[in-house]
Amino acid sequence: MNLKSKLIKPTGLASLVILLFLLPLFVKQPYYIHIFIVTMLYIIVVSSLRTIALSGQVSVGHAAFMGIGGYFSGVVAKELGLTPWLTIPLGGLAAMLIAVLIGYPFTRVRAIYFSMVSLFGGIVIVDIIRVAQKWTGAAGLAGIPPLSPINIPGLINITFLGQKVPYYYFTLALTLVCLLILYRVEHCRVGMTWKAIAQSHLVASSVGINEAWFRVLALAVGCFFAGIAGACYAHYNLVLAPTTFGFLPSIFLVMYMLVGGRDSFAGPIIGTAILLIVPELFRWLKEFAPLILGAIMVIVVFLMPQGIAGLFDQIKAKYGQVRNRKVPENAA
Amino acid sequence: MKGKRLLILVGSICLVLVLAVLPFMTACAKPVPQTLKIGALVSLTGFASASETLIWDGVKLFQDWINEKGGITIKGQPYTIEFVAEDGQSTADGAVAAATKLVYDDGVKFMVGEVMPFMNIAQGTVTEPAKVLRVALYNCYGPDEYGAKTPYTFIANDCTVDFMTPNLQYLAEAYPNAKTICVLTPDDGSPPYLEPIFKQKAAEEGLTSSGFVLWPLDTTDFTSFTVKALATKPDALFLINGWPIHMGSILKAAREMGFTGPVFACHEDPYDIREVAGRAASTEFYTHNLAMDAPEMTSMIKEIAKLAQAKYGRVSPTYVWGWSPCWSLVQAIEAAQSLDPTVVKDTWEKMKSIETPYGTGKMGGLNTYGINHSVSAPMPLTALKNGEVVWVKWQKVPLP
Amino acid sequence: MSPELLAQVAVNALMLSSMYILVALGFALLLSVMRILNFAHAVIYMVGGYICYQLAVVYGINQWLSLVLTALIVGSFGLFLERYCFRPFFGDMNRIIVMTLAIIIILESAVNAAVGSYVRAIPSFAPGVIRSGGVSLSVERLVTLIIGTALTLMLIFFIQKTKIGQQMLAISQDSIGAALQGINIYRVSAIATVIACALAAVAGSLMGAILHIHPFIGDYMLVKAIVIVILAGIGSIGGVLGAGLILGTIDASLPLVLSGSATDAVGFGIVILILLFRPQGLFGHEA
Repeated sequence: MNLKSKLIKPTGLASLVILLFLLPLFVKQPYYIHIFIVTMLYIIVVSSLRTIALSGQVSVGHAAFMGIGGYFSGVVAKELGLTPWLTIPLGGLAAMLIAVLIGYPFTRVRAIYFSMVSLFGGIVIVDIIRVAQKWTGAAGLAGIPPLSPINIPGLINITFLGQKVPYYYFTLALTLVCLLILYRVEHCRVGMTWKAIAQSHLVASSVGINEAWFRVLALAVGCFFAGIAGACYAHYNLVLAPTTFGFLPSIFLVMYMLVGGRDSFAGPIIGTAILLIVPELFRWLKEFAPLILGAIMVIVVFLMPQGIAGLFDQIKAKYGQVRNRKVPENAA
Repeated sequence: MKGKRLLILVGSICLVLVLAVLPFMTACAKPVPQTLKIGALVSLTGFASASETLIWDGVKLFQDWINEKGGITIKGQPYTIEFVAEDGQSTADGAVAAATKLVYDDGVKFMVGEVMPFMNIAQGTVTEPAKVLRVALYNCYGPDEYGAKTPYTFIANDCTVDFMTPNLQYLAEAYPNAKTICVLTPDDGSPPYLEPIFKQKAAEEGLTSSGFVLWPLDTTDFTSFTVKALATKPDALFLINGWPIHMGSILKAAREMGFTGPVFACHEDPYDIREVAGRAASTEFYTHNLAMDAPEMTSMIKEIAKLAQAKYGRVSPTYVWGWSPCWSLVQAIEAAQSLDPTVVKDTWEKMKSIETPYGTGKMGGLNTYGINHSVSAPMPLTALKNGEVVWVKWQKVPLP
Repeated sequence: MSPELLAQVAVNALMLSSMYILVALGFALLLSVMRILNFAHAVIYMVGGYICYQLAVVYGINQWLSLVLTALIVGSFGLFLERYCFRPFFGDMNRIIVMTLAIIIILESAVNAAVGSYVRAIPSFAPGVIRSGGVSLSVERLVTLIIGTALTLMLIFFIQKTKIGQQMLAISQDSIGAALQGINIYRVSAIATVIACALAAVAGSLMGAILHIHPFIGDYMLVKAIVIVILAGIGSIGGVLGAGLILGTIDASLPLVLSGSATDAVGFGIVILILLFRPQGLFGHEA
C-alpha cells in the first residue's frame, strides 16, 4: 500500500513527460504546436513568479522582466550578430541584474505595498524599453534572428527557421530543466528561508536571517528564469512588442498563479496551462471568447479555495470524510 | 443463347460508352461553386476594437455584395468568398496567434487586415515566410512594416506619408496666412521615420514645422500635450497618426485652450471625431475621409451606404475603409485567374488600374516605399465645420 | 516658459487632480477602510459610463437626472457584489483578487459583445469655456472639480462623524474585534460597497463626458487609482486629496519638458521614489 502510493506520483509525472515528448507525432497542426510552445514558456515565467512569491513578495511587474530578457537577447543578437544560443542566457542575466539593482531599494516596501510598487516598476521598465527606440523600435522589434541551426556534421542537423517542431522540443527540454531547478531550489535551505521570511519577517530577522539579502535572491532567481523564457520567446516569435510585457500581462501572470494554486509547485503549471489553452480552444467564439476565461476563474474561485492544484487534496479530503463516516457504528 | 450473348455484348458496349461520355456530360453542366476562404485579422477586443469592429462590418458588407453577384470565377470554376475573422486582441501576440491560426489552421492563402504598426509587423512574421498574400489597411512605420522586405504585403488605402502633401497643399490654399505647423503624433516608433519626411514635404510647400509633439499610446487626457503643442505658437495643428478617440480629445482640448486655427488629421472617421470632441469643438477640422451624404460621393460609396443602412441601420465611412482592401484583393485574384498567392502578387504589381470605392486607382509605391504594392486612388477630403460634416473635395494624389 | 503657460499648467494640474481623485475615491474607500482590493472598480467605472450614456442619449432623460439614476443603479449592483463576490471570501485576499479580475474580464467582454465598442461619448454636462488672463478652463472640468471635492469632503465627514463610518474604521482595524462588539460586518461592508460603486459610477459618467466611453477604458484608470491610493497610504481617505494633487501635477507638467513615453516612465519613477522614501505612503500607517 505504501509503495503503491509512493510510486503513483512519479509514474504519473513520467508518463506525462513521455506523452509530451511524443505529442508532435499525433498533433500535426502547427497552430496547436504554437500554442503548446507559448504555454510552456509562460509556465516557466509563472513558476518563477511563484518562486519570488515564496518569499512573501508577490510581484505584479513580472512580465516586464520577461521583456527585459526578450529585448536584450533580441537586440544583441540582431545588432551584434551573436548567436541566440549565447544571447538567451545573456538575456536571463540582464533580467537578473536589473532585478538585483531594483530589488535592494524595494526591500523597504512589504506586502501589498511591494506588489503595487512592483506594478509601477514594471510599467517604468516597459516605458524605458519604448524610449530606447533606436534599438527596440518602440512599436515593435522586428528582424530578430531565430535560433541558429544545430549542426554536428554526420550526427544531426536541425534548422529552426520556419519550423515549429524543433522549437517545441527545445522549449519542452528547457521547461523541464527550469522547473527541475526551481523545484530543487524551493526544497533546499534557501527555499525554507524564503518561507520563513514570508511567514513573519520580524521573527525571521530575529533569528539572524538577513531578510533583504534573501528577498533580493528570490527576485534574482525568479527574474533570471523570466528573462530566459522571454529571450526564448523573442527568438521564437521573431517579433516583440512592449504591450506583451505591460501591466495587464503582469496582472494576468499573478492571476494564473493564484488560479492554479499558490501553495503547490504544480499550481502555476496547471493554472497557466488551463488558462492559456482553454480560451484558445474557444477562439471561435470571437468576441465572446474572454467570457470562457472569466467563467473558469469564477468556477475555480468558488469551488477550489486552494486553486486547481488543491483540487486533488480537496477530493482526497472529501473521500476520506466519506470513508471515515462508516466507523462510528462501533463507537456508539 | 446466341441472342442473349449478343444482348450482353451490346449492353456492355453501351455501358462503357456511357461511362466514357458521362464525365464530359457533367463537365458541361454548371460547376458547383467552391468556397474561397480569405482571412480577416481584426481586433474585436482591446482598445483598437472601437474602429476595427466597423472595419469587420465593412468586410462583411463586401462579402454579401460579392457573393450576391455570383462570387468570382477562376478558370471556369466559380467561388463564393468567405471571410474568416480572427481576433487580434489589439496586441502583438494576439496578432501572431490569430495569424498563425488563419494561416496554419484555416489554411488561408489570402488575408486582409491590420492598421497598427506593431500588429502589421507581428502579422508579417507569420504571413511572409508562409507566402500568404496580405492586404493591410494602413502603414506608418517604415520599411520594417511595409517595403521591399515584405513582398507579400499590399496596402489598399492611403497612408500617413501619402496624406502629408495633400494636407500641406490644402492648408496653403485655404489658409494662406498659415506659416507654421505643430505636429502631434503617438510615440509608437514611427516619429523617427516620419519627422524628416514631414519636414521635407512642408519645406516643399513653403511651410515650417514649429514642433513635433509625441504622446504615449496609453494617454487618456490630452490637455497637457495640447498645451505643449500650442505653446510653440503654431498656425495649424497636424495630427498625423492616431485613432478617433485620441484625435477627438486633442481637437477638443485645442479648442478649449482657445486655438482657432485649422486642425488636420489623416484618415479618421469624422463622425467618430465629432462624437468625442463634441459639436462645439468640431470646427476647422480636416480629414481624408468621407461625408457619407454628400452628392459628390462615388456611386460605389453610395451603394455601400445603402447596403450598410439596410444591414446595420447606420452609415459610417469606416465601412468603406474596410471594404476597399477586400475589393482590391478580389480584383487582383480574378485578374490573375489563379489562387496561388505568388501569381496573384506578380499580377497585382503590374495591374494598370484597379477599382476602389473612391474611384479608379493605380498601383504605386516604388518611390516612397520601395515596392509597387500601394493602391493609389482619388483622395477624399472632408471637413468638420461648426459641428457639421462638410464635404470639401476630391484631391488628386501624386503616385507614391 | 511664460507666466501664462505656467498658470495654464497649474490650472490643468488642478483639473487633472480632481479627475483622478474622483476616479480613485470609491477604490480608496474599499481598500483603505474595508481592506478589500477591488480591481473590479475599473469595470464598474466603465459600466457607469455606459449606463449614463444609455439613459441620457438613448432614452433622452435629462443628463443630471441620468447621473443620479446611474449612481443609484450601479450602487445597487454593489449589494450584489458584496453578497456574492466579497462575502464568501472574507479575509482571503487571493480569492478576492481572482474574483474581481474575473468580474473585469466578464463585464468587459459582455459590454463589448452587447453594445459593441464603437466610439461613444456622453454629451457635456456643462458646456462652455471660461477664459481669463490667458488661461482657459472648461466649465465641465470645473464642475468635475467641484463635485469631486464635495464628494471627498462628504465621504470624510461620513467616515469620521457618522456611526456607520466609525463602524467601518473599527472593522478595518480588527474585523473580529469589531464583530465581537456587535457590529454587523457584512451589513457595513455592503453599505461601503454600495457607496464605492455609486462613486465609481459618477466618476465614469463625468469622465465619459470629458473623455469618452469604451469597454476597455477602465484598465488604465485602475492604475491611476492604485497609484493615488498607495501614494496616499492605505487607511487615509484625506490623503487621497494630497496624492491626487501630486499625481495631477506630475501628469500635467512632465509632458512639457519630456517627450512621448518618457513622460510616463519618469512619472511612475517619481511615484516609486516617493514610496521608497515613505514605504507606507504619505499619510498611511505602517503595514
